Amino acid sequence: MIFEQVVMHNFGVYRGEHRIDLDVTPESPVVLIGALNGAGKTTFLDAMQLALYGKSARCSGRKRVSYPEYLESMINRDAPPHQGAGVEFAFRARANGQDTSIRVSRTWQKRGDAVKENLEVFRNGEHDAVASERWIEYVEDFMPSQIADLFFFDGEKIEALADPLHSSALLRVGIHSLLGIDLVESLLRSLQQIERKRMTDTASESDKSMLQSVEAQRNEIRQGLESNMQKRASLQNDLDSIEMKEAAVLAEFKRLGGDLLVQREQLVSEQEYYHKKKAEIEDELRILAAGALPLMIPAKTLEIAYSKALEARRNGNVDVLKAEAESRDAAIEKFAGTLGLGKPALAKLSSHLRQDRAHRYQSSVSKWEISEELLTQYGHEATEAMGRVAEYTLQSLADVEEHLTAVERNLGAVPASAEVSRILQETDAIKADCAKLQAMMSLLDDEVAAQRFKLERLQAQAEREAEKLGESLTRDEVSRRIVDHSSRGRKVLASFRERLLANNLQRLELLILKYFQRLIRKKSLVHGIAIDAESFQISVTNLAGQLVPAHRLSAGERQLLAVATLWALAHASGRFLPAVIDTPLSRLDSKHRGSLVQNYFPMASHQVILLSTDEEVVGKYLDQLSPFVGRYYLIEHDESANTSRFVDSYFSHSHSEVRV
Amino acid sequence: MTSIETVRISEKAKTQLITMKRRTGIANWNVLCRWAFCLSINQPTRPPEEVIPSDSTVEMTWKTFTGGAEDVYWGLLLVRAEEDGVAQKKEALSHYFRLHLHRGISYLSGANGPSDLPQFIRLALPKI
Repeated sequence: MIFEQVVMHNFGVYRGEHRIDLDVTPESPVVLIGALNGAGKTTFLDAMQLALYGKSARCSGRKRVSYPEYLESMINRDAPPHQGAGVEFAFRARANGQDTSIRVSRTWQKRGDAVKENLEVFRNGEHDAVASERWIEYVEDFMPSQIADLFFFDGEKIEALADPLHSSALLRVGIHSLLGIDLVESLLRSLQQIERKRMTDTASESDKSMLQSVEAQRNEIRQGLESNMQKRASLQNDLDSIEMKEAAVLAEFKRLGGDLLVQREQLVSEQEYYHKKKAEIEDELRILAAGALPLMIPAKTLEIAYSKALEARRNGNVDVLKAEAESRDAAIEKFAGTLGLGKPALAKLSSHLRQDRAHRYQSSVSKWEISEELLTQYGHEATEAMGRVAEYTLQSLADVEEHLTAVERNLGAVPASAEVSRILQETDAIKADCAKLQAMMSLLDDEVAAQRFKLERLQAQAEREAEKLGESLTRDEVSRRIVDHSSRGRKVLASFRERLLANNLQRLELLILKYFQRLIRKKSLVHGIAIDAESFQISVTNLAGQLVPAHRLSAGERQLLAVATLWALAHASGRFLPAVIDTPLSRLDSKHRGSLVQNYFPMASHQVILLSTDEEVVGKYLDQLSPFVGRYYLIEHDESANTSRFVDSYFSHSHSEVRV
Repeated sequence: MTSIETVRISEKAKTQLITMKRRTGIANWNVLCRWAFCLSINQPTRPPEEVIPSDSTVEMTWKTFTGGAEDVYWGLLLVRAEEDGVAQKKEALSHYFRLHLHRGISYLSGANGPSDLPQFIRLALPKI
């Protein structure tokens, strides 16, 4: 990738907007920036770091300060408060076989007590919201923070790396970063992230507490229900005893004939009915009495009478004959009168005839007949039948009279209403109490029903929560497994990394050797480089194969070794990143300075941002370097404007400006 | 042939009949008289001689008295008259009849007589 431009706005000593183009050509890859100490060189470098890495940028003066405080402190003193500050970094990178221009713009303002930061990423000129949001991840693709450190070095770092005491640590970091181990590291990080996420994803306490709370509620309701059931049982007892009391009172009521009073109306109507019935039956009896019934009394005499009547009928002829005889006798007496007999003779004749007649024709004493009709109507059978009817009717009458007596007895038993009303009052009072108790019980039942319903619901809810919790716990189970596998994976990756390392160390050793030999003058001094896989100590072996301990090298030589190491690491990383080198020569003696200027700077990378004081890349060094310089800048401080500024210029031989 | 045409009641008998009316609720004189006559006819003894005045206002025809069964009641009287040796003469029979009737009325209203309608009816029914 290639840096294209850096923009600083109200950043540090740079008031207002400052655009610095950094683009170069392959033939002239160096951008030479001259600056006196304190002019704003470090600030410039910080701007680049800050734009790319934000919170995790390693800026100078950032050591003990929080990020918002740091941002606030970097807002130029003279900037209007509402404008805030900003840094931009534009670069070109190759992604997916295509060249893409990326511009990162990070701005911030002071808002009250807080600092509001805004990050925007533009891809090929267009705002890329996703990239803006996930820049921390994205930047790792272009300029991994670990590696950046090693393309971004200054004299101090070189010195530190040259120091045998610290070099191994730095080397370790560098190797890890550059040998593709960064990918492994990235993967390890991802796994760790997953593990961490999984571990925080465990069944939250809130799920457990939810279940507990539901269970607590349920238990409470259950208790309430139990107490209500007890209340109900006691109410039931009360109700039972009242009902017993009611029964007792009712019994007394009955005993007093109270129920009869109630029946009184009915009894009265019954009484009326039976009276009516009785009268009807009596009428029937009277009708019978008016008939042939009395004839049953003199039954024997009646028999005799009937037989005599029959006899009389039989004797009816006698009368006819007697009448005939009378008429004949009369005729005879008349004839005798014509015979001339005397009166005494005629009288004798008449009386004789009469006696004769009487003797001859004795008429029954009973001069009475009875018709056939009457015989039938008043005959034996008829009266017998009538007798049976009479018997039956009398029985009916007796029954009715019995009913009537009973009814009237009951009516007689009806008590005085005064006594009964007392009992009725008592009954009413008991009934009222009973009703009250029943109402209470009904309310209680409603409450119980509601509680039961709630209990069911809570039980269902508790079960659901338990299920959920079970699922969370299962999820935990799954998470645990994932974490387990992940950590094992990490172990594998770690061992892979070791092997990767081991494999690459050899290559690295060769590279360091190559570059070191390019840089030092005593080529014979160094024949081999060895890096200890564990301690990352670099050892140099001479022609004889002997280990040359580090302290045997001069300070300058050690520094060159450090540069060679960094160079080798950069090369070995396979990344084409620009190199940013900050005042590297100050601690080198002139012997070795020249080596760096000639052998290293132009070839450090396809783009080299080189910062120099007025005592470093000047004079002959400048001459040596200038064929490879694409741009010159000078950072100068403008007192009147109270700002530092990039100027298209450089230190002249005589410290006066050289227009290039 | 019936010889009696009118039935006449004594004042005493009238009072007795009123009692019977009260007791039985039977409203008609003739019904009560019929029952009285039958009761007396049924007595085996001859009714004792008595002077019976016709001093009440109560009287009825033979037809009314007998309820249309004139010959039947006449027959009863004749049979008893013969048994008791009463002459077959109009006056004798008429008197004999009155003796029976009034004896019957006395019996009805007496201490041994029926005190209500059912007892009255029972007079005609065979004793259980």
